Amino acid sequence: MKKNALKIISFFLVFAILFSGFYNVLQYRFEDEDGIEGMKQFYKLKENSVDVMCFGSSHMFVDINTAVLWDEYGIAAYNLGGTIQPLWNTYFYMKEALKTQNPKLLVVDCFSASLTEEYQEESGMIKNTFGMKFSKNKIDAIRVSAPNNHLAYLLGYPGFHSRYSVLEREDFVEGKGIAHYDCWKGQHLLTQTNEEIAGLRMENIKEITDTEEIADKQSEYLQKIIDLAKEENIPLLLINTPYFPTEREEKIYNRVAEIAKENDVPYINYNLFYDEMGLDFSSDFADGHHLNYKGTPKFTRLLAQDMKALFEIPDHRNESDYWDYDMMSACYHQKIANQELIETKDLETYFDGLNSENYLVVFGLSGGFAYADNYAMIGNTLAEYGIYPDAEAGNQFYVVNQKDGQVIYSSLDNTKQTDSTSTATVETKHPRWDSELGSYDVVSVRCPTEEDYKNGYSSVVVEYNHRIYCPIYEGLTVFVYDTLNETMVETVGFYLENGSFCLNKWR
Amino acid sequence: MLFNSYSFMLFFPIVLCIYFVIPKKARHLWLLVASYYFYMGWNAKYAILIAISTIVTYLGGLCIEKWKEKRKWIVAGVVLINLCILFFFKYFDFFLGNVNRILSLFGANSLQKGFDILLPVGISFYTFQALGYTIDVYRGTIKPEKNFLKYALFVSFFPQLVAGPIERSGNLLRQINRVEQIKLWNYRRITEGAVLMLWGYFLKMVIADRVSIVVDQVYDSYWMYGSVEIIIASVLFAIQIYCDFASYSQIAIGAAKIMGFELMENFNTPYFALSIRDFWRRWHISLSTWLRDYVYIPLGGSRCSKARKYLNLFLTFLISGLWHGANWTYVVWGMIHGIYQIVEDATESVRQKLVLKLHIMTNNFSYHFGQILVTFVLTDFAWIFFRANHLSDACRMIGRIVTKWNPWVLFDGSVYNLGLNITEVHILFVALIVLLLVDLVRYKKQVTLDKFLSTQNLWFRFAVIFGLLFFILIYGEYGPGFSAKQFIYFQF
Repeated sequence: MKKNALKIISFFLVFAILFSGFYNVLQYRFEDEDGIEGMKQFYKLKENSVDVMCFGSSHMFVDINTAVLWDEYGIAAYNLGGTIQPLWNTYFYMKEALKTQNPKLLVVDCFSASLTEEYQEESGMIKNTFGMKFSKNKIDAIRVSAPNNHLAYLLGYPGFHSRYSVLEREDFVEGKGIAHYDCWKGQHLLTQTNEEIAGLRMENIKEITDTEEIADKQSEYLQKIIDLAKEENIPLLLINTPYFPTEREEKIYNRVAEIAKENDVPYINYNLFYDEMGLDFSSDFADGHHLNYKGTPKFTRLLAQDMKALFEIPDHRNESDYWDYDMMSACYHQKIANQELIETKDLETYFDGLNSENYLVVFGLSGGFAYADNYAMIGNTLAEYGIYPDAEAGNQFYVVNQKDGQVIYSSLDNTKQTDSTSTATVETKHPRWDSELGSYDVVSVRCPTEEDYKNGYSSVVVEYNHRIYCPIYEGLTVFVYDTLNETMVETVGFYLENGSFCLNKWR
Repeated sequence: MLFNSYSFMLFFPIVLCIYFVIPKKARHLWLLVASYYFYMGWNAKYAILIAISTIVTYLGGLCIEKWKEKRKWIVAGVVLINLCILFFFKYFDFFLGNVNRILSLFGANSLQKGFDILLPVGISFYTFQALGYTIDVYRGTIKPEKNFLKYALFVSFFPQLVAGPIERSGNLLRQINRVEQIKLWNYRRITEGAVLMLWGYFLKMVIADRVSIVVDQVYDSYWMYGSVEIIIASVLFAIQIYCDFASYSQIAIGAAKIMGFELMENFNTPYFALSIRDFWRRWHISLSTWLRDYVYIPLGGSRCSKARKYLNLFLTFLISGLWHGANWTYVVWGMIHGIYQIVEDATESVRQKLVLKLHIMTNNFSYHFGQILVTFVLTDFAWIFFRANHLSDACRMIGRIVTKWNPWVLFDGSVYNLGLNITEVHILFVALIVLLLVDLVRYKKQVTLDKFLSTQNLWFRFAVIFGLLFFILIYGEYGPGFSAKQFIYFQF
C-alpha cells in the first residue's frame, strides 16, 4: 500500500515538474507590446513601487513614454495594456494591478470606448487575458471576452500546446533573452516613421461637438472603471492619446467627456492639443494610431505636465530603490541612439554616432581601401582609436570596445596567409569578447576563408547568431553591437567605387 | 460526450470518485445514471430510443422464459421492433433516396417526407448488443435478467455504449450482476486501465486526427491529385480508421477496467493479418463474432454446400457493410470483403498446390511478410470504397491511381503540401514507429500494452507512460481552433 502510494506521489511529482517545464516553453510569447508580457512583467514588480498605473490599448502603451516620465519628471509609471484592449479587459487588468500596487494615479486610455464588438476575436482574447495569473479576475475576464471555449482559454495550454512548431530561442530563455527585461515598464517603442500619414489630419477636429452613444458593454465597463477607482480612493485620469480619429470616434470621445464630467473625473482628449504638443505630422507618427520615438516624448511631456498640475505625484529620481527606472531609461536612450545611428547615412556623421560607451565596434577593411582618394577621413578616424591599417595586407579587421576606446583585437596580429597563391587568410586566434556579448549571442568576425570566397564573400565576414553579413566586395565594413541592450545594431558597408569610398552606407 | 472532450475529462473522474465511495448496492444504479447522462450529452431525445430498445428487449427476455412455446414469435417480434427502429433512424433516408432514383427512371414524381431524421449516436451498437441478449435468452444460453436496472445498465454501459465493443450478455451482464463484489481499490488493475486509456488517446489524438488532415484533403478533392497522393491518402486512411476505432475501444476497455469490468478485446493487430479471414479475426472482433454467431451460423454457416456457404459468407459481409452505414459505399465495401473471403476459400487448394510446385518455403519471415503485404493491399483497396464520399468517387480515384502516375511528388516536396508540413510528418513518423512497436509486442508476445508494462521495471513504465502522456499533451490535435473530430465509428 505504502509502496503504491509512493509510486503515485512520484508519478504526479514528475508529471508536475515536466508539465510546468513544457508549459513555460510552449506558452504564447507575443512581442512585448502585447498584453501577455506586460502582465507577466508587472507581476514581478515590487509591491507599491508604481505611482502612475496606465491602462488601455496600444495607444496607451506605445504613446506614454515611461522613460521621459522618469527622466524629466521623476514619475514611476507602468504601462499595463494589450492590443485593442476592450474596456472590460482594462477593468480586470486594473483590478488585478490594484492587488499589489497602490498608485497615486490611474490613467486610462479611452480609445476602446469606440469599439462596438460584443466579444473579442481569439488573438485579442489571448493577448488580453493569457498574461493574467489564475484568479477570479482572470476567470471573469475570459467569461466576458469570449462567448465560448472558456475552459480552454482558462487552462491556456490547450490553446498553445501546438506552438511546438514555432519555438525559437526566446521561448527557452528567461525574459525572452532580452537584456534588462525585468526593468522594462511596459512601453513599446516604435521606431518607424510614416511620413504620408500627415494627410489624414482632421483640421476641424475641435469643431466636432456632437456626441454618439458608446456601445453598451464598453459603457458598462467604463462606469465600472470609474467606480473601482472611487472605491479604491485612487484618482483617475481618462485620456485619449493623439492619433487620427474618425468623426465618429471624436463624437464617442465627446460622450466620454460627458460621462467623465457626470462622475467628476478629469478627461483630456489629446487629439485637441496637437499644436500644444508641437507634433510634427510628417515625422512623429509610426502609423495612423501610434506615435513613434520622436512623437512620444512630445505627447508625454504634455501629459506629465497635466498630471503634475492635477495630482500629487512624487519625484523618485536619485532614490536607490528606483534603480530599475534608471536602467529602463538607459536602455531606452541607447535604443534611440541605435535608431539614430541606423538612420544616419553619411559616413562622417556615422563615425560620430559610433561614440557611445555601450558599443562594441568592428572595423573591417578590404580590397584596395588604402588607395581610395578619400581614404584620409577614414584613416584619420581609425587613427584616433590607434588603428593603422596595413595597405598591403588585404582583408583585415579591428575590434574596438567603446567603453574605453581600446582596440581589443586586431586581425593583423592573428592571421596568416594560407599560401602564396590564395587570397584567403586564416585566423590563428579568434576575438575573445564573450564577456562583452549577451549571454545568448554568438558572433564571429573573420577574414574570408576559402569557403566564404566560394559563397561569394570577399570582404570581412560578420556572422551574428549564425546569420552571415558581408555587405560589400571591398571597402569598409562596420559591425556595431549594443552591449547594454545586448543586440546587434547593424552591420553596414561603405564600398569602393571608381577609386573612392561611397559615403552612403550599404547594407 | 466525446472521449477527447473537456466534458469527459470532468465527467469520468467525477463518476469514478463517486463510484468508488458509494455503497456497493448503489453501484449499478450510479453507473446507469452516469451512462444515461453520458448518452444524453449528444442529444437528450436519444435517451428515449435507447430506453425503448431496453424495455422491449427486457420484456422480450422475460416473455421468452414465460411462454417458451411461443418464444419463436416473441424473439421475431423483438428483433423486428428493434430492426424497425434501426431501419427508420438509420436507413430510411437511404431507402427513400433509392426508391426515388428508381421512380425517376420511370418518370414518376419522387416521394417526399415531411420530417428530418437525426441519426442517434451508436444506435447500431446498442441495438446489436440488445438483440444479442434476446437471441441468447431465446437459445437458452443465458437466463433472462430480472433486474431491470441492471439490464438497462448492460444496454447503456457508457464506456462501450456508442462505439463498442459490442458486448455479449454472457460477459458484461454477468459482471454487472457481480458489481457489488468488485474489489475497487486494486492498484494494478487501475493503472492497467489508465495505460489502456492513455494508449487510446495517443492513437486518436496523435495519429488518427493528424492523419485525417491528409486523408480529408485528398479524398475531398481527389481530382486535384494523382496516383501517388491517392495511394498515400489511402494507406493513411487504413491507419486512420484503425487508430480511430481501436482508440475508442482502448479507451472504453481501459475506462471499464478502472471500474472493475473486463470488456472483450476488439482489435488484435489487424494489419498483421495473414489473410482476409485472419483480418476479420483481428478487426472489430466484437462485430465479426456477433455476425458469425447471430447471422452466419443461423444462415447455415459452413456446414452446408459450398455454394450455400459462399452465399452465407456474402450475405454476412453484405449485412456488415450495411451495418456500417446507409450508403452504397459501405455496401460495396462489405461485398468486396465477402468476395475476398469466397475467392480466398475457393482458391485455397490451388494456392497450396502452387506453393508446393514452386518450392516456396512457407515457414519463414519473407512468406509471412508477403502474406501480410497482400492482405494489407486488399483491405486497403476496400477501404477506398469505405472512405470515398460516393461510389463514383471511389471508382474515379481507382482510375486515377492507374492512369495518373506521378512519382515525382515524392521528391519535389509536394507531399508536404497535403496538409502536413515537414515537422508534422516527422511527428507522425515517430508516432507510427511507436504504434508499430506496440503492435509488434502484441503480435509477438501476445500481450496488450497494459499487461506488458505491468511486467516491466518502474523506470521503464514511467518512461513509456510519460512519453505517451507528453506526446499527447504536446503533439495531440486538440484545443481552441481545433474542433474535436468525431470518432468515425459513432456514425455506425
